[in-house]
Amino acid sequence: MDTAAKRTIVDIRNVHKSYLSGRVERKVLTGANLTIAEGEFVVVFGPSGCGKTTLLNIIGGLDRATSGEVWVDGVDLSKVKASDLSQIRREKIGFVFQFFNLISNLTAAENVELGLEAAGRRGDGVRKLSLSYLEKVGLLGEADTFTEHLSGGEQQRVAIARALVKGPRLVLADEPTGNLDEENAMRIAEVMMSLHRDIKSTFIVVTHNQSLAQIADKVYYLSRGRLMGA
Amino acid sequence: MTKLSLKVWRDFKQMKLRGLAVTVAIAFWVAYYGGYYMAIESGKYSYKRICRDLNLADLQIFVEPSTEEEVPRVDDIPGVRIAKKRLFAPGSVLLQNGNSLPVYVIYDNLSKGVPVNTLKILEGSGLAEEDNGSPVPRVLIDRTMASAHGFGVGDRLVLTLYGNETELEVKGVVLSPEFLYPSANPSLLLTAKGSLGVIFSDMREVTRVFGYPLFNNLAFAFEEGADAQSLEEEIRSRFPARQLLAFLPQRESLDYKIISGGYTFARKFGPIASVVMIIVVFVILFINLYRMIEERRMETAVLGALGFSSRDVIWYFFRMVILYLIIGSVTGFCGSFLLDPVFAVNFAKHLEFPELRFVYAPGFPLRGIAYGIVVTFAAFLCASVGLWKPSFRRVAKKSGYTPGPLPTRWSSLLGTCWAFINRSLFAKYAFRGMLRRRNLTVVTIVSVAFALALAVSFNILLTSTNRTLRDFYDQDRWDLILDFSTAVEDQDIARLLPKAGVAHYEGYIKGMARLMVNGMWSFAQVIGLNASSTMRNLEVVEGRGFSGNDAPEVILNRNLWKEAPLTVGQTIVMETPDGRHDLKLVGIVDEVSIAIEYAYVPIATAQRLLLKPDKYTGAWVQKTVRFAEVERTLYSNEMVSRITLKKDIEKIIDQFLASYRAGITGVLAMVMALGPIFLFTTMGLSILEKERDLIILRSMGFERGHIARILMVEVFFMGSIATMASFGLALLLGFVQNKLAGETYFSLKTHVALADYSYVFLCFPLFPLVALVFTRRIMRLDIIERLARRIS
Repeated sequence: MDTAAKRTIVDIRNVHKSYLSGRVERKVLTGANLTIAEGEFVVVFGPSGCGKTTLLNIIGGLDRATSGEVWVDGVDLSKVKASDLSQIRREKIGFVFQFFNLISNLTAAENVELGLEAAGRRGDGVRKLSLSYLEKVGLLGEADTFTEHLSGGEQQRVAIARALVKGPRLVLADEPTGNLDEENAMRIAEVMMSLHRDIKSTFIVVTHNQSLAQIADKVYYLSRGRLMGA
Repeated sequence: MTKLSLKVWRDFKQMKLRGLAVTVAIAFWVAYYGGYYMAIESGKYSYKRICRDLNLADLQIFVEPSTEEEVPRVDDIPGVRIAKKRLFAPGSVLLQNGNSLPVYVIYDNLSKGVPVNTLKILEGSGLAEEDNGSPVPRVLIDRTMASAHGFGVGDRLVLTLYGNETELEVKGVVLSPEFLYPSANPSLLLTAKGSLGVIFSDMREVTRVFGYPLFNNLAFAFEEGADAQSLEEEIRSRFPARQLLAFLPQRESLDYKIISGGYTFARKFGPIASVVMIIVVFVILFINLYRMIEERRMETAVLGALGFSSRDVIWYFFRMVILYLIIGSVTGFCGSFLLDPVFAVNFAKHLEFPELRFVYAPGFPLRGIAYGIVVTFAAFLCASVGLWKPSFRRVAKKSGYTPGPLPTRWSSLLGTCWAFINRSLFAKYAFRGMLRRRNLTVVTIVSVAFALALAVSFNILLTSTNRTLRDFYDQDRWDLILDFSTAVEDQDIARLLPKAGVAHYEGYIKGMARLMVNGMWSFAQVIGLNASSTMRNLEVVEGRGFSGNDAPEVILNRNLWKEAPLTVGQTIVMETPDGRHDLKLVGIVDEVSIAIEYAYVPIATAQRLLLKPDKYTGAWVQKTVRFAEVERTLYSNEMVSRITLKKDIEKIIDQFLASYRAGITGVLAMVMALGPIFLFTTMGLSILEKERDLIILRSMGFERGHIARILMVEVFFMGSIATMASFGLALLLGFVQNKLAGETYFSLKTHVALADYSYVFLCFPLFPLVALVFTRRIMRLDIIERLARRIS
């Protein structure tokens, strides 16, 4: 499975995914194939409703493929139990959602600490590490602000810090700029790129944002359930 | 139709479960309230109807045993429809277990069927002319004697009457309007069902034994609409004072007092049960209406952004509430007519009522609807507080819940605790959530505390009743009470009671009298006892004891003169066979007594007033270990008409408590169910507010144990506070309930046992169960579906 130069971190083979909508079977992915090497920054485009989020959820273990193989960091997710999937998400995968999905009643720093706590890390260093990641995303001054009092762009930066603080092997971002204005979208794109260079995690970003495509290592286009390299 | 009205109708149809909860809560309240109070009316009506159907006497008088010629003529008084003469004879019947049952044998002209105190045949048949010639006299027995002691048609009884034993054959079991409440021994202040047997025999038996008929009881039926009090006075005036032993209008009869007392008790507890129900309904309505509004926060914010006023939005929700209110009220109204018989049968079972006729009075459920409207509006007002100032931030930020800032004074108050809480992110999250949703947190804690406390308070009521009764009887030193067939002298008692078996005895005298207290006449049983009695301890709560055995003094029980409050030092007019006398009220006692009013008088004074100088009608006896040797002979002694054993008091108390418990079972069951219901619904609401956050945590890889920890913190915090609060609240509620119960029967001293709080400790394991149940729910939710829902 390894490529010649780098280790493969994600390998999807002939993945099909369909949903039952009433009595009608709706096919979302029809034989999708994707191979991503470690450390790559990959962007996936596609029109609304084409299955981008479904693809991401399958890679991240939030959903299961109807058929096909999904290998993430050497583990076939299709054969893994739900509790093991949780463990994989805890330790190896970071998620960034379109609508931030921060936890209410926790400050920015505490939301980032949550990411470390999910990975089982506790102790004095946790706070220090969280603050350092907030600094990386330019929000050190808002560390003790409750997230609902932050702007959209600030919340998304907190979400990114939370996803990356545990040093995941794979970061899955589902339209991270979809809910932001252009200026904030640019800033998020810069933050993600900067962090990618910094921690060398593999990024798979589903987006409509062209600026992210310009800085990506690979760009794919999802259409009619199949992935095509752009 | 406007679009908002259309939305009201569609939303109303869509909210199946939530709407059902609101409707059912309202319907249940209306049905319960209407059914409960209609049931009380059914019971009261049934009693009146039975008394009318069986021709319960309007008045009964007891005289010294007299022949026909010795009894003054009374049937010529205008207004008196019938006057029937009977003989009441006290005796005893041997039971299968070897004990003796005190009985009254009522001799009457049964074959003539005079319509006063008519007997209704329940089993077997009535007495006929041909029964008079049978070798074994045939009798009828009261239904309680049959059910409590296993007698039936065809059985033989061994009756001891005035020292003579006679075998009788039971020909029928009857219901008598004089003994609708199971017949009870009037020597005991607590009525014990079945402690007195009643046998009905034909007057010809008296003629056979004595040679001529004798009477000591006259039962009167008045004409419809006659002035009862004037007739009573007229009848009384015909009898010389010496001849008249007791004068009992219908309202003074033991049965009437017990049955009306029973329904008074139900009426007094009605408000408690209603308060409980109303709180339950309020909480259910508040929770569901709150959720209904919360789920539409985004929509209401959007409506506001579009230009609809707060009033429009509130009116939109209010119309849905009105629809639920109408459906709930109509359903409850109909349901109340179904619950009426259910409650009525339960009350009747407690009083062992023979027959029930149901009353359907729509006024009660309509009143329930009125209260239901008030509580629904109150719940809606509380749930819709946030709508008056809608927040548009929700539309801008597309976020569901935006709590207010954490109040800093709470942080400072919880200073030390905060340092501990700060160690855990989950604990921080849980506590902050509770503090921010202060109203919901407080409602949860208060409702759970209230439910726990209310259940405990009923246990306190039962414990207090139990201890009050036992303490009351323990304070007296007698082991048994002897009632004599006639008034006897002290040397007769001494001869009757051998020294070997008796440690101490003290004679007393009893008789009926009329008392004028605060301008009201009422009947009472006079008990003359030694001023320094060691056997019957009068615990005077106000005033003092008697100054001497012949002092013109009286001591009364304040529980039985609630309508005419007593004052130490006031003059009480007592009318006895010796005429009217003024006695000074020197002391007031606070005694256990269901219905019999006693007036305690110094022994010599009582003997004088009852025209029985140096005579006694009974004795309190303290026995030795050798008493068993003499006990059996006492039963067969013609001097003794009745023996009451103190060891039977335990059974009587248990019986009383059982009937008490039966009376409050419905309410107690409801209250005990409240605790878990409140726990699950209110805490569940609090937990479900966090559903989205918990889903996000799951998406990050947090597992069941992590989710459970968060919920446990919340559940244990609120549950612990509620449990601690319930301890004090239970005492307060218990005290209130004791006061209410005391107004019906006798004053209760509040006693609390650790076991009373057992319910609280039983509920404690439910707290983690709540957390686990909702953890399971959260873990079973689809992550993607729940996260995706946010967008819609």
